[in-house]
Amino acid sequence: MAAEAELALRRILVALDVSEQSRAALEAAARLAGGLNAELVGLFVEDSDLLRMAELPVTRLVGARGTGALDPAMLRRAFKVQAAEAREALERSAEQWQVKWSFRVTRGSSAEAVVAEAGDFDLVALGRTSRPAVRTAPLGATARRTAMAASCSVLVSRGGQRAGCPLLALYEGGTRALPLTAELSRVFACSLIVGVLAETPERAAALEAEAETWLRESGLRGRVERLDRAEADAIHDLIKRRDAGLLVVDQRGPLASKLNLEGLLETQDVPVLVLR
Amino acid sequence: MPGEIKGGAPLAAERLCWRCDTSGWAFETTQDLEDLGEVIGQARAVEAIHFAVGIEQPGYNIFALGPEGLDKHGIVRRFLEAKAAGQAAPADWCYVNNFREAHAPKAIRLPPGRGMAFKEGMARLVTDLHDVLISAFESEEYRTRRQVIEEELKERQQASASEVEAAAKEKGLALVRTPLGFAFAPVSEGKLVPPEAFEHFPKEAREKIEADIEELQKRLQAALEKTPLWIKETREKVRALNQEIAQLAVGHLIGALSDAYADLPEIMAYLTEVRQDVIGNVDLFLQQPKQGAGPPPAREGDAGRDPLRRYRVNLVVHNHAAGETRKSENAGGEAAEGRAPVVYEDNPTFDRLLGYIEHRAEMGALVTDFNLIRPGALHKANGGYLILDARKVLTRPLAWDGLKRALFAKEIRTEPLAHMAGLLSTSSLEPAPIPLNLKIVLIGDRQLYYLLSFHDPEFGDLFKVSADFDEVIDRSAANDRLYARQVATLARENALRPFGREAVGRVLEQAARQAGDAERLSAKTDTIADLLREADHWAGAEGREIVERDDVQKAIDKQVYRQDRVRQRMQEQITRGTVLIDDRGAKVGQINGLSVLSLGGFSFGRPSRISARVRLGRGDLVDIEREVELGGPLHSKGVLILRGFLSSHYASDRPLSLSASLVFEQSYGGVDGDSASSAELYALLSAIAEVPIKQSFAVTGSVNQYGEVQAIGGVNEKIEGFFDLCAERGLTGEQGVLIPDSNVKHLMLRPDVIEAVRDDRFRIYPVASIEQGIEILTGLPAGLRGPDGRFPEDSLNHRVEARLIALAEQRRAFARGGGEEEKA
Repeated sequence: MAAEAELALRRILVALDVSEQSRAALEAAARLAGGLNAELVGLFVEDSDLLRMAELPVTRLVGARGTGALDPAMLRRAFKVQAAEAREALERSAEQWQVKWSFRVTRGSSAEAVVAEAGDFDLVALGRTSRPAVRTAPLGATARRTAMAASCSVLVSRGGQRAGCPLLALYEGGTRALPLTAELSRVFACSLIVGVLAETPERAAALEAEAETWLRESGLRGRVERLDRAEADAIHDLIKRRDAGLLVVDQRGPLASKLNLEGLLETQDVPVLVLR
Repeated sequence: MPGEIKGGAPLAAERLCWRCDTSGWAFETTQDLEDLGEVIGQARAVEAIHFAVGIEQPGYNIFALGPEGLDKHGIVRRFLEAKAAGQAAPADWCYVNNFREAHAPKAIRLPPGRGMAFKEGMARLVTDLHDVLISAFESEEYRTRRQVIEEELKERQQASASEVEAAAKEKGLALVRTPLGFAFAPVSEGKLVPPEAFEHFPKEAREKIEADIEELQKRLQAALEKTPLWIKETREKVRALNQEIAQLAVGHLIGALSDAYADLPEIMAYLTEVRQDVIGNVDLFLQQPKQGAGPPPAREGDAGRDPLRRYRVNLVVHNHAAGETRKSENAGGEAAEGRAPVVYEDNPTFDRLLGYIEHRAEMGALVTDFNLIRPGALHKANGGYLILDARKVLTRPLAWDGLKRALFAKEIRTEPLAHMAGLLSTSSLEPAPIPLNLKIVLIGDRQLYYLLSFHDPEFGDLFKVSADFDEVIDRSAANDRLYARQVATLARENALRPFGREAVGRVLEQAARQAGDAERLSAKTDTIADLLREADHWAGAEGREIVERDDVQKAIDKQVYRQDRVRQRMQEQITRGTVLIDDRGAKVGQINGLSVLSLGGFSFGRPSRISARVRLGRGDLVDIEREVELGGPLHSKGVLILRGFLSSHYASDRPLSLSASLVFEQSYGGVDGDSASSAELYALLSAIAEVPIKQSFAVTGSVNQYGEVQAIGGVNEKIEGFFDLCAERGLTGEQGVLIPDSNVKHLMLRPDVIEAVRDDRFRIYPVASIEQGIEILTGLPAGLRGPDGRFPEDSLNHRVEARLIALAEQRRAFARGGGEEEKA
């Protein structure tokens, strides 16, 4: 195996709102930051699209009790309240995992703002959608845009990561992601499933042997599984079958890079860590 | 008074003290004697206890009365223990949660010995339930079914939302969620239309958008209105699912426990309630952290907020079934090895009798629950016997009332003291009462018993049996031997050296002296035990292996010496002439009386000078003590009797025409009792007849209107009091004491007094009448009336009568003269 640049997650950005999914993302990110001794930065975006929308004369708020005017000043206050709430949540998590943390508020179109901020970070963590009850699309606009456009690694969470469940890492050769994967299994105190992706059965067999050796040498608890297709549904099946709690995909891999990332993120209930 | 005056001879030394005859005893030391199993001389009390314990009727509780030091407590306790050993252990009782009304915990009765098993069984059940429920609710089956229910809600919400969203999209609008709620906004090319652009829209377009938005808003609102209903439905479905899962998990475990209690319907009913409650409160179990083996151990202290406390069992009465071995750590009140309990509560407060409810501080408030109900002595003794000190029960606030209420109601109702007193209007707990069936033995002194009988009308209904302990035992050869065995028993119980035969004899003599009667023995075992311990100490100091008579004597002497300071100081006042007492010579109208002082359990005699003065008057006898209110009513009574004697005995055909005054010289404290009345009469007779009284005598005894001398108390102390004074000044052989004849049987004098009498250096005269006494005191014959109704010329009575007649004549002459004056 040729040596490649080692993957390190030193600075983690977590996109915060007040949704449950965002909390799950924060929890995962804080835990990761604690385990990897990384710095955690919380980001709250005041959505400029919404502010602009509020300026429209036709916009009305709809609630179960009736309608009302959407006042931009009120909206700004609401953002402030939510930001404070998000900051508190960040502080609590950071203290729990003993992480160095900071918090920033920015204004802009949600997705763009996150992508713009992500440039300085090794990993950006966020919830799959911030509006779970209403949105028909399972993947939120911000998450989709960030997963596609961010240059750094991305961790997308829907619910929390279930404790004790194994971590599934896709593997198609190369040494880049392996040390990090091992580190993650230590941080999350879980066993490891190496999901082998290969074009041919021969290649797959070789990779399986390699992975077995690596597992043994690293002294990790785990198993090697072969994926017959490099497709989202095959991965989904494996996750269900092995009750995996976290999926790790290295997008530099030739097969992984061709994966339909959006589809993968839409179908998975477990947190997905996309390494770049 | 016909016949000769008899007597006048002093008592022989042998009659001054009962000397225990040990020659008939077949033992050398107390080692040869068996322990005394029975109670001597308390047949009445023992029979009363027998009777009360045997009778199975309410109200037959016992009041054991008698002075301190009779070992009433020990006798009662030994008796009850023996009786209880043959009786079955009573039921166990526990308090459990009342799931319907938490403030009224339920009491459950179990056969003896099964309470602990039930308590442990419930604790295990909770641990098992915890594990099983957590597993059940973590199972894939449950999670999936729950997700399906939640998914359904989401789908319904999404369906209604996406319908509106789709409609919006058709009209070029987007449904946006803002922090403040939903809003519709126009979209163009996938982006929100900026306000500037919107303003440039044609008016018609703007109006159309506005109308569309309004319509969509109505549709969305209608959809939103349904959401709370769906959420409620979902919650109910989840609850039903939870109950179904819990029922599966719980049923088997509770069923297993129920099997062991199929014979106890109360437990079965309770377990049914537990089952329903667990199913309805699964969250309580799921909130608990999973720590391998279930919830944290159920310790009292740290479990303040343990929500599973509601399933605990508070075992308040724990007895042992027959044949069950007793665990050493479970000391306290409960019965050992399948027998009825005998409990003594030495601090019978209201709480400690009836049980109490503890509180613990939680978030600054005091809270309690059924786990904090603590049993009282009545709980522990229920089905057996409870011994209490009457004085303590009466002095603890409301304890007596609480005890009586429980006995009348035949149930123990545990409630806060303040609640019973009506001071607390909020009651945190009202535990179900526990039926009460026990015998109570109150131990107290006689005064308390009579006071209670007199002042508390309920007392007689509740304590129908009095076990009256006597403080003295009749002396007989048989009782003497039993008493010797009692001495042996006490010596062994106190791990003392064996007592020699003579030493035991001396102990009996001292017991008779304590009884103040040569024909009785003191039943106060604790003072006898003190004497034995002290004699043993002195024997040890002498290096003896066996306690001898001398050691007992030394113990007695030392006891006296330690308490003797006041007596000695008083005697010094006499010998130094501060207090005037003559012990030789003769004086008119003056005599030595004797009184007894008791200080802290030590009694001693003290001589006092009594003097009488006489003059012409109208028959009034002035008791100076009474005039200044230093004399008590008994003393006054004695003095008035003197007047009766004088006026009837002498010149009864003339008015008593003297005025006399009587006084206890140098007496600054009070005087009471009539034991000096004979002395006062002697002084009076001496003053009237102007015949001197020998001051070498001291006198004690009361007198009646016929001149008969009657018995008094403390005769030994009185004699010794005068003897000590004479001995210090020097015994002349003339000195002595006049005592009532009827007191001779009470004589238990000190060896040194007996020794002096034997050597004829001191005399003790028994006197039955005033005539006998006055002859000894004056050396003159008293004189009996002859056939002519006159006393002999040279007799004392003659002189008295002659003086009284002379006074009467004088008075008549005086009155005549006075009458003339009045006329003039």
